[in-house]
Amino acid sequence: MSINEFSEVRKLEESFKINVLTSGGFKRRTAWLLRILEKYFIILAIITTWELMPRLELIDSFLLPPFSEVVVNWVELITSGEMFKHFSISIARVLCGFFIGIGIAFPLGIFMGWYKGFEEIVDPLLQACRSSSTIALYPIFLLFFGIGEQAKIAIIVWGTIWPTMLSAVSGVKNADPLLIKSARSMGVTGLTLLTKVIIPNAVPNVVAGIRLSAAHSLLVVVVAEMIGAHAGLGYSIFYLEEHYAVPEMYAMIVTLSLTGVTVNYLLNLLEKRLTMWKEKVVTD
Amino acid sequence: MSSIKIVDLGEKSWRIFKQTLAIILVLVLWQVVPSLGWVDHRTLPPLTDVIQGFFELVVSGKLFIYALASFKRAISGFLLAILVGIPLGFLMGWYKRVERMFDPVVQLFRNTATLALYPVFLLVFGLGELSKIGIIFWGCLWPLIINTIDGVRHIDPILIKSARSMSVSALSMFTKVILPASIPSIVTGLRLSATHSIVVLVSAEILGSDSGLGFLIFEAVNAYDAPAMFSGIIILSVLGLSINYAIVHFEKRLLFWKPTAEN
Repeated sequence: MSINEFSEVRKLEESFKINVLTSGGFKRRTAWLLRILEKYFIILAIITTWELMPRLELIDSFLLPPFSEVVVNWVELITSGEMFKHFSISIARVLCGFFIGIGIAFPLGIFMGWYKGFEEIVDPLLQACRSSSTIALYPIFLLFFGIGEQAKIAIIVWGTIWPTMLSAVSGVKNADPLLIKSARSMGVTGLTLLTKVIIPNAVPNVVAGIRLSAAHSLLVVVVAEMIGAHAGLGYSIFYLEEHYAVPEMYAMIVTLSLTGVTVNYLLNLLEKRLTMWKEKVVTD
Repeated sequence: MSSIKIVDLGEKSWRIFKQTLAIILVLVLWQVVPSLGWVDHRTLPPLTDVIQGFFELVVSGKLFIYALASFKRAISGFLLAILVGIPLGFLMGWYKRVERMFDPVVQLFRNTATLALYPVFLLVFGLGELSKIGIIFWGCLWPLIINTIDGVRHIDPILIKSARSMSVSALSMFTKVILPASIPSIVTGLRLSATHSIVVLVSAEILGSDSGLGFLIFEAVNAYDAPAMFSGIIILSVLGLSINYAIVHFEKRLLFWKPTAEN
């Protein structure tokens, strides 16, 4: 009897659990769905307006072709290989300039943060270089390197260097003295102090600088290609505008936007990866 | 007393010397390298030639007209962005739901290279002032919005809770707590967008304009007038530096109440 009763209770319990859990899961799923909907509601609204405005002739469809037309053109450009051609050329320039820039900026920034005397002397020059608008210097690069690839890569390198370098300098300079003192009291000196304490401590700062550099390098490549190039996304956007191929132009811009978002996403991941050890102050 | 002063003076001049050493060195190199013929004159004219070209531009009045044209564009776009961006940022920072809804859009637009949209602005607004002011406005808008949101979201909760426990009205909550506490972040946004506005301005003027410093630079390149080109670049750099300096000064004025970590 008692065993029977017990099994009865168990059954009730089981059915209750299943019911509650599934309904909870259902609720959670709908909440999740609502959240996603809420998150992308505005984007969907923008796309709908983009589609409807020209279709209802509220805006000249020459200036803003319907979204679907842009998508069709986008697919066409991809299948014809035109998109990949310009995309790969731009990306190759950006990657080349970006990595050379980081390769110069990171060690130099660490070095300058470490040797304060050197930094004091060079700082005014750095500030002047950083403040001068990158694009304004492009003509100088054209004069020195000609209109080939070199000038474009060099201007990207120039645009990439400053944010990363300055953030590396401040990352090293603003290292918590307590960390350095405790490392020293444990007998850590010289190179070990630099590689085990100071550089890891500067990483969050440096990554923030790298993100700025990446955004800037994308901007610079677009402008450089618009000013003087025969291929690349910036060139094709401007070329298509001049030839009134408006839907194709929007398709190229969409590609560029997606590239920017992807780069930002990847750098976000990198940042999270590299600052895993860091305690978070703000929880959100 | 006087000996202390002398030491002070010596230290001060030593510091100034150290700060200007690198720049002086660059200027000297700039003069010497082309003069000795190590670099082609047409690529890098000696500093004195550039200074001469600069004065010629000043005397002819061309520089002033172009600088004014550029300045007007930059300021109009920048002020418009402030008027739109900062209130929007407050709205999105305070109402989590609004922020959640708009965040994907903000991320999308922020990560789109500003100048990629310049042809669109040209199509819609034509070649006149409006397209330039529009693209500068657009470029300045996103850093301002993002930094204002950041400032509002990272206000110390204790401040808000204590204000609430003293039952302040919504208005004074905003003017006495939220606004002052988010100013450092907003000023960062101002600095970012001011620098960005100059980059955008120059690019827009190079790509489609008949006045302004960007146009001056590119016109000089096409006319193989290197001194004029360098003059334009120097003016732009000085403009960038002084705007940055002015904003930093402004920040200090606004944040006089805030204790700093420096000793």
